[in-house]
Amino acid sequence: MKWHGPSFRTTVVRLALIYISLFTVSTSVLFVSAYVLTLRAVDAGTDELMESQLQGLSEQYSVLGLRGLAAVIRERSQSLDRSRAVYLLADSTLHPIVGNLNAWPQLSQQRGKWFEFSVQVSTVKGMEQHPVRAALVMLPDDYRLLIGTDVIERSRLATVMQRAGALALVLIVLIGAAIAIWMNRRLLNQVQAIASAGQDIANGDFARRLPISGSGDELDELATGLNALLERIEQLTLALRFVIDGTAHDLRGPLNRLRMRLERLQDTVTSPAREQIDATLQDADTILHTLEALLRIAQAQSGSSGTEMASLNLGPLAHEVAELYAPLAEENGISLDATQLVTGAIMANRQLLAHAIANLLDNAVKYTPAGGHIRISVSEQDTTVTLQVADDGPGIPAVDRDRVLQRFVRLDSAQAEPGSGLGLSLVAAVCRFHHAQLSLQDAAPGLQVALYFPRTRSR
Amino acid sequence: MNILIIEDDLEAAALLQRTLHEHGYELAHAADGREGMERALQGKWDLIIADRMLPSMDGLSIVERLRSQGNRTPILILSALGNVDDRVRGLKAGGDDYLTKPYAFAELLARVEALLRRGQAEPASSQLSDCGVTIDLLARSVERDGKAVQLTAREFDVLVFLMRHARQVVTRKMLLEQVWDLHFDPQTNVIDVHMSRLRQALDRGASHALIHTVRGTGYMFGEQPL
Repeated sequence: MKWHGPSFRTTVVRLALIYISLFTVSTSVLFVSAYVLTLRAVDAGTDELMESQLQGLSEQYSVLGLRGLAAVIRERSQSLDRSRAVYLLADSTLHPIVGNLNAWPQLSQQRGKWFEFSVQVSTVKGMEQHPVRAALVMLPDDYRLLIGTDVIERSRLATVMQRAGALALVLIVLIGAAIAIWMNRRLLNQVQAIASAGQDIANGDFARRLPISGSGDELDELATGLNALLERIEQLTLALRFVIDGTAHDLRGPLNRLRMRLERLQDTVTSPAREQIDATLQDADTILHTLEALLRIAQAQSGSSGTEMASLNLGPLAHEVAELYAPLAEENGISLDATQLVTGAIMANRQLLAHAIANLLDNAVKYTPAGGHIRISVSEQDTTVTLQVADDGPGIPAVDRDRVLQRFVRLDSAQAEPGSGLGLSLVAAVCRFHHAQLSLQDAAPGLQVALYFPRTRSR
Repeated sequence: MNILIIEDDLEAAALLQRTLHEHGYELAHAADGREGMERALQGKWDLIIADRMLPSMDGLSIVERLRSQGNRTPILILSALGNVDDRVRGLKAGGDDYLTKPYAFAELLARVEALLRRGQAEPASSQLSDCGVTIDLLARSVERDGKAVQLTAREFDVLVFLMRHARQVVTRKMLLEQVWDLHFDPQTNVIDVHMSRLRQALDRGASHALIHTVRGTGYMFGEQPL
């Protein structure tokens, strides 16, 4: 059977894609959870610190009052470039009283009990926006206290982790793809070596074996198993050829002597013994004829040794055989059209092919009534060369078309015609020998036999 | 005419010898390859009939050996192998004709005669002339008694073959093999139709037929039937 490369390649690519996405997804899950857990731990630390601050300041307030609280805050709050802690005490009009923020910030974003906003911080690199997490405490008389933390380190950590994650992901995809390509190429090479060996074997090179890489992998195991099978096939084929050649030889010898003796007897006797001998000779020739046909079919079928292929033009050969049958067709009142014959270069065995074409024309002439038409044509397509023999005789019913290609099958309607019933079987065997497709079609009315040969590319 | 038969099937060889002897040939027989080779080199033969498969040295090797030594004796190879390309191989080795067993005596005799006559072949010429028929091989034209005869290309080839073997039996198989280069038996006798057409064309307006049917065997070109 023909090896279909592309479909396998897509399978391999699909497998590679599946592996890469599995890698990607699992790495992403791992990374995202690490990211979330880390940030959560950092936040928990910050929050704990602020909670304790809050608690401390609340205690200060309850002991020392607003004034005392302001004093503590003044003491604690330093410029933001040196401290992470943010303090701001404001009155009911949001006017700052004390703290290290110049103005009351927009408290629009709230997450849980924490507000988030950003402040301007002057650093060695210049002014920077820093995010702040803060808690708001309402004091009596509508005073309010904001206690927060500059969380720039947290957001830096988040950025670094995001970048690292993205980079890791890209690397994983690239490395995964590279490994997938390498492994697939190895696998593909191995499979293709097996496939091409298989193709050669199918084409009749029965001594060929599948390659074994020596790595002992599953493909090697498969190839070893198949090689054992091939060994067996080769033995059977050789045995078959031996039987074919042996049968040919062992039957021809005795048949030869039988024929010779009968021929020598022929002239020594008179009627009625003479008629008996004549009839016996005819039977011997019929046996011989059938034997020849069977042997030829067997030879074509087993790709027997000594049956060679050469490049040949189908059109001129069809013309020659048509020319051989033209007078016979005309004698029977049948027109034989052999005008549509292109060159049709193929690899073929001339004798086998000529025999097959002759059988097709023989059948056509036999089954086409007087006044009928037979057309033999050779045409070229992209990859095939087609030989067609069409007649407008009775044709073959669709249900019988497969059956007539088998050996010795003659349709009931054809029983009256002389012939061994091996004509089409030989055509079928010759087609197999040439890797040609044989198809029986309805010529409406009549039978059309089409042979599709692989075309030889001109170099 | 001396013929050497190299054949290991003793009974077949005896039957063959007897028949050929009755047709006026002198015969010798060798039963295996080596002996056959020796006798082929020692004697002066007009024809060698060699079986393809022989003990000690096969028929093809004998043919090849003889040819490589410059021996040009016509050789007819007999074979019990019927593979499609065996014939080609036999002729390539240097055989002059190839016949698959079993064969009819008439077929064998026709080929023996053709091979023997070829030994004394006419000088190469662009013209063939016999029994009032003249063929110009270059112009591919035919005249009978001075009048042009119209033939198809294939009929022309058949007539040339018949005239080259004038007064010899030419079998249907010989025609198929040597004019058509086809080496199988067609299911229907297609040759006879070709022959009757050739006859019609050749005998039109003539007083007598020049192509005669040899019953059960083939045809013969000449003034008189056999």
